[in-house]
Amino acid sequence: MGALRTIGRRLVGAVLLIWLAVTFDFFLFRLAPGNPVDQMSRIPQGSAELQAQLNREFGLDQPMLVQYLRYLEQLSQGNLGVSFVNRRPVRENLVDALLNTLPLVGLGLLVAIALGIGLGVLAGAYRGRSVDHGAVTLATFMYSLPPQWVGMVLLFLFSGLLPTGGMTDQFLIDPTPAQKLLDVGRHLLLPALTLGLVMFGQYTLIMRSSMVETLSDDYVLTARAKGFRPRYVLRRHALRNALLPTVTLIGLSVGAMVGGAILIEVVFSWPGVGRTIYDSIVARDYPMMQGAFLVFTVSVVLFNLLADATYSLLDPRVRRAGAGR
Amino acid sequence: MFVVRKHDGIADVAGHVLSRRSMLFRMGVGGAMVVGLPSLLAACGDSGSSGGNAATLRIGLTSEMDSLNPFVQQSAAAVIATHLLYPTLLRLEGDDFAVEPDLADDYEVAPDGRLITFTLKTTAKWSDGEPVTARDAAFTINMLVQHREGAAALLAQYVVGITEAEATDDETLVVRYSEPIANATGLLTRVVILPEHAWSEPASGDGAALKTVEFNEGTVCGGQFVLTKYTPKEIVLLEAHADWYGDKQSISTLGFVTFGAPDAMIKALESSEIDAVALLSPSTVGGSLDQLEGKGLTTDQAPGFVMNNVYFNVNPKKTQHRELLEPEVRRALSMGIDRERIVEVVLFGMGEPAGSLVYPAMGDWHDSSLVPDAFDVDGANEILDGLGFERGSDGIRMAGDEKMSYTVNLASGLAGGDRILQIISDGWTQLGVAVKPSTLDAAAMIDAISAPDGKYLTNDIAVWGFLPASPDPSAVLDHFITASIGGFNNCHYSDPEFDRMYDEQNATLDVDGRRRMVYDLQRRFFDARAMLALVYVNALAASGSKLTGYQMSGFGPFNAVSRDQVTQLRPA
Amino acid sequence: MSALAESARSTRRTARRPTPGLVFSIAVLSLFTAGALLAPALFPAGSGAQVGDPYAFPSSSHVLGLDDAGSDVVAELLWGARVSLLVGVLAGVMTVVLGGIAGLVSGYFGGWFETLLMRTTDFFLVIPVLPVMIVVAALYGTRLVNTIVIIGLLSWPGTARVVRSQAKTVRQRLYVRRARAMGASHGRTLIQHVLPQVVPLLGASTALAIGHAIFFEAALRFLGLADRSTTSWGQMIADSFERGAITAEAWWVLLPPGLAIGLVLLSTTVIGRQLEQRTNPRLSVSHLGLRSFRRPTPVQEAQ
Repeated sequence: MGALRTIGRRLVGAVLLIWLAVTFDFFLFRLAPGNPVDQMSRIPQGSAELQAQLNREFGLDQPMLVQYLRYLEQLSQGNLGVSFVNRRPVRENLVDALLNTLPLVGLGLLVAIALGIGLGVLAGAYRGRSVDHGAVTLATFMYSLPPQWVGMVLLFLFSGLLPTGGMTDQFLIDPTPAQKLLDVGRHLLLPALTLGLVMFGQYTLIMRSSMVETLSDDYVLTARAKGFRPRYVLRRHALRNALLPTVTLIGLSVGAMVGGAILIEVVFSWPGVGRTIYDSIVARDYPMMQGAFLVFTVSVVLFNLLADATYSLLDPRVRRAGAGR
Repeated sequence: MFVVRKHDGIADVAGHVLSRRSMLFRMGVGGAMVVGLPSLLAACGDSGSSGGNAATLRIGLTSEMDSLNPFVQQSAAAVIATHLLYPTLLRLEGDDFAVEPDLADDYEVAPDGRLITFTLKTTAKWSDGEPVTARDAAFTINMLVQHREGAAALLAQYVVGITEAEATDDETLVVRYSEPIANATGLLTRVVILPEHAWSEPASGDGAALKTVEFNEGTVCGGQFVLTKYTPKEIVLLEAHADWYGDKQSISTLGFVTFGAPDAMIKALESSEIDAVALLSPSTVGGSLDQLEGKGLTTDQAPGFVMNNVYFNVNPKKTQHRELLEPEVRRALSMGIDRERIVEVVLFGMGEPAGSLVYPAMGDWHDSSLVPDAFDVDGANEILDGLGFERGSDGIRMAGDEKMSYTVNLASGLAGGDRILQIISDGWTQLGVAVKPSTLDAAAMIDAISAPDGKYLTNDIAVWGFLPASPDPSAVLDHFITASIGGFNNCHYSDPEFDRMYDEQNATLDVDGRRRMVYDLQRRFFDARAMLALVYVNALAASGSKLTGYQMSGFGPFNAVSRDQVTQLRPA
Repeated sequence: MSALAESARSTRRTARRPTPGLVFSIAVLSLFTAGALLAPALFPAGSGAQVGDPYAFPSSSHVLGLDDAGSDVVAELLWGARVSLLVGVLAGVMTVVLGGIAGLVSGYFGGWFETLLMRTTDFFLVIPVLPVMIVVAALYGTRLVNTIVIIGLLSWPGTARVVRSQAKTVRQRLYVRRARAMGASHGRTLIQHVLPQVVPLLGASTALAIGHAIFFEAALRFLGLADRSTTSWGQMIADSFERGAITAEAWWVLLPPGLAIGLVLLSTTVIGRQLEQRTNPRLSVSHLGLRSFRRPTPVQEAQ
C-alpha cells in the first residue's frame, strides 16, 4: 500500500521536524542575552548565594548539553517542566492560555469566515463588475493593515460600549452559564472582531478565485445551458465546490492564527497564548517559552498533515503522484 | 510567505494565492459595516454586570499580577493584593507615611535599638476561625530570616538585621536585631503575617515548597479581605473578611482588572467598567489631568516615587570612553539635558526635574538645596572646551583618538523612554556629543550594563528608571553601595566613604542625626554625578464618581502599606 | 465600468494595458517614495522636532496636527516613510536574493540540494516567525540593520519554494534541454535560459516581500524591539499606543501611520500580482482554485 507508506513517511518527517524545531528553540533561547536569574535576583540585598541557589533550582548550573538532554528526557515523558516565573507547571499555564485563546481565535475565525466567504461569493458571482473590484480591494486592504492598529482603532470607536480589557467581568457573582457566556462574549467582541477584520481578506480572495473557476467549469456551464436559473446554479453547484479549497485554507491558517494573535492579545490584555509567549520571552522563562513554541510547532505540523490528507482525498491526482513534497 | 504575514505556517499557501489574483481597484467601499455596529453592540449594554453595587471596588491595572504568593510575586499590583489578604504588624498612613498600628496595637523599641516588643490585638482571626497570635508573627519572621538567602530572598530586605523573633505569649512578640536598624518598623510594614498552621509545612527543609504554594478560594487569609475567586492572570476577586480586626469598611468586594493599553483602562473608567486605577503613569495618559476631569472623572496627583535616570558606568577599569570617568564631563553632559522639556513633553507636565537621589516624596529626607542642573548648552560647551575635547570636522568632539559618540542603552519598558532619549540626544548634539541608542528589554539591559560577565567594562551610559519598595531613604541610597554592584548599582559606583556613611545612617535611631547623614550622603552622590537624576514622576489617581474618600500617596491611590486607602472609601 | 470589467475578463488585455489598480498602486508608492526622499528638504529639523504642544489639533500650519512629542505628524509620516520603506526594500531584496538563489539552484539541479532546501523550508514553516523574530531581536540587539537582517533571514523560504517550482518547470522546457544538449554549461544555462524565465516571479516576490517586511517592522516596533532613535510608521503606532493618543482623542496621530502601511501593502500586493500575471499568463484567473492554490504540489511539479 503506497498510501500507507506515504503516511508513515510523513509522520516520521513530522516527528523529525518537531525535534529539529525543539532543538533550535532550546539553544536560541539560552543564547539570548539576559537570563531569568539575573532578573529575579535583582532585588535589594539580592546576593550571589541567591543567584547560585536559583541557578541550581532551575538546573541552569549544568552544562548546556546536559540541560538539553534533560529537557529531551523530560519531554519524552510528556513533562514540559515548571515555569520559572510563577512556579506552576508549564502545562497548566499553557492549557489556561490555550483555553483563553481558543474562543478568541474561534470567534475571530467565524467573523473572518463570514466576511470572507460572503464577500468572496459576491465577488465571484459578480466577476468583473464593480462589486467584484470593491470586494477584492477591500479584502486586500483590510488584510494589509497592522492588527495592532486595527485593534486600537476599534478601541477608539467602541470603548464605552464594550469592555476594553480582560476576559470576564469578575463581579458576576455566581453567574448562570448563560450570563457567563454573554459576559465572555462581550469581552471577546473587540479582540475577535480585530482578528476577524485582519484575517478575512485571504478567505475572500481564495473563495472568489474558486468561485470563478468553478463557474467556468463544464458542469456549471452545462447546468446553465440546461436552463437552470443562475442563482440556483450558484447555490447548488458552484458554491459547494468552491468551498472546498477555502475550507482547507482555513484549516491551515488556524494553527498560525494562534501564534499570530500576539499583537491583538497585547492590545486587549487577553491572557492567551500570544501574550504568554511574549511575557515569557520578556522574563526569559525558558520552560514557558519552550512549551509555548512547542505547542505552536506541533499545531502547525498537525494542520499541515491534515491539510495534506484532505488534499489527497479531494484530488486523486495528488495521490497518484505520490510523496512529492 | 509574501502576503501572509500574520500566520507564519501557511506562508507559501496564501502567498501563492495572492500572487495569482487578478484585481482591479476601487477605493472607498467598506466602512458601512463598521459604522453600523455601535447600535447593535449598545444593545448588549451593561447586561449581566453587578458592578453597579456601591460597595464594590474595581481597580484597573495596566500591569499583570504575576502571582499572589509573597515568595514569588514581583509585580507591584500583586504585592498590593497580597497585603489586603494578610495582617501586618504595622502600616504606613498619610502623606508622610507615618507608622500606625495594624495587628500590633502598640510597640516599644529598646534604647539600643536591638529589640522591639509588639503587643498584638487579641481579636484577630484567620478566615478558618483560628485566632491570629504572636506565634504566627514569630513563625513568619523566623521563616523569612531562616530562608533569607533561599526561598525567601525576595522578602529578605524587610527582615534585614533581625536575628530572631519570639512569641512570649499569644499577644506579645519580641523581635531581636543584631544591630539597630533606623527604619526597622517601616520595613516590618512590608511583612505579611502568614498563618503558621497553613505555612509550616512548606516552610520546612530548605523552604523550596514556599514558592509553589497555590492560592485559591480555600486559602487561609486573615487581613482586610479574603480571596473568593482566583484565576492566575485573569481574575483576582476579594471579599471583606468578616472577622477582620481593623476599622469598619464599606467595600465588601474588591477586584482587579488588567488592561493591555492605558487608554483602554481610562476608557473603562469613563464607562464605569472600573471605579479607580492604580499605578497610572503620566507618560501614558496622553495629556493633562484636566482633560480627564472634563470627562467626569476625579483625578489627583502627588509627588511620586518613580524616577527616571541616566546611569554612567564609572568603573575605573572600564575599557573604552574613559573620559566619562571624569566627573566634570558628566556634569557638562548633565547640563546638556533639558529636564524641563522632559517634564513637559514626556510627562505631560506631571512631574518635576530631578536633582537628588532622595525624592521630594520622601518629605524631610529630601535635600531641596540640591538643585537639578539647569539646561545650559553654553556652560556645558565651556566645560568641555576647557577640558580640551576639540570638535572634529563632523562637529563631534574627540576624546583622544575616540569620538565622543556613545551607545546609550535604553530600557524598552521605560514609559516614554524613546522620547526622553530624543531630548537628551537633541541637547548633547549641541555639545558635540553623539548618541547611539540601543533599546533593550529588562533582561538584556541587566546584561548590557554589567557586560562582560558582570565585570562592568563595556557599558557607557544607560537610561532607566526605578520605584523603591519603601518610602525610607535607605531604599534608594542602598542602590549605590558597593555591595549592590551586580544588583541595582547600575553605575558600578563604589565609594568606601559612601558605604560607611550609609551603614552609619542606617543604624542611627535619632531622626535628626540620621537626617544630617542622609543629607551628606545625597550631596556626596549628587556631586559625583555617576547617576544623573532626570525627573521625578508624579503619582496619579483617577476615579469615577461612585465612591469617595480616595487618599493619595506617593505610591498612588492604592499602595501595599496603607489600609486607610481602602477602609476610608465610602459610597458617594 | 465596462472598461474595468473588460480588462478583468480578458487576460490578454490585462497583460498589455496597465489596469487602474496598477496605476493607483504605482501612484501611491511614488507618492510615499517622493515624500520620503523630500523629507529632509521639507522638514529639515528631522523627526521628533518639537514645534508645539503635545497632541495639538490639526491647524493650517500643521495639517495633521502634532503628536505626543509635539512634532508635526506630517513630518513624522514622511521621516517615518524613509525608515519603513528602507526596511521594506532592503529586507525585501534580501528575502528575494536569498530565496531566489536557493530556489533557482535547487529547482535547476534537484537532487540532494533540493531535498535539503525543501526540508529547510519545512523547518522555517513550523517555527513561529513573529516570536522567533522577537527572540532574535533581543539576541542581536535592535539596530535598524538587525531588524532588516532578521526579517530577511526568516522570510526567504517562501520565495525559495515558489522560485524552485518555476525553475523546475523551466528546466523541463525544450529549449533549455536543447541548450544543454548543445553543450552550454550549467552556469550559462541557468543565467541565460532559466533566470529570465524566473525574473518576473522574482519581481513579484520582491514587491510582496517589501510589504511583508514593513508589516514585521511595525510588529517589532510595537513590541518595543526596534531601534527607537529613528521613527517609522510602526513606531508611530507604538507611540500612540503607549502615550495615550486614544485618551487624548488624537485621531490625527492614530490614523495616518496605519493607513499608510495599509496603502503601501495594498499597492505592493497589486503590483506583485500583476507583475506575475502579465509575464505568465498561465497563472491567470481561470487556473486558480483547488488544483493550484497550494504550491508546490506534486501535480504542478509533474506538469
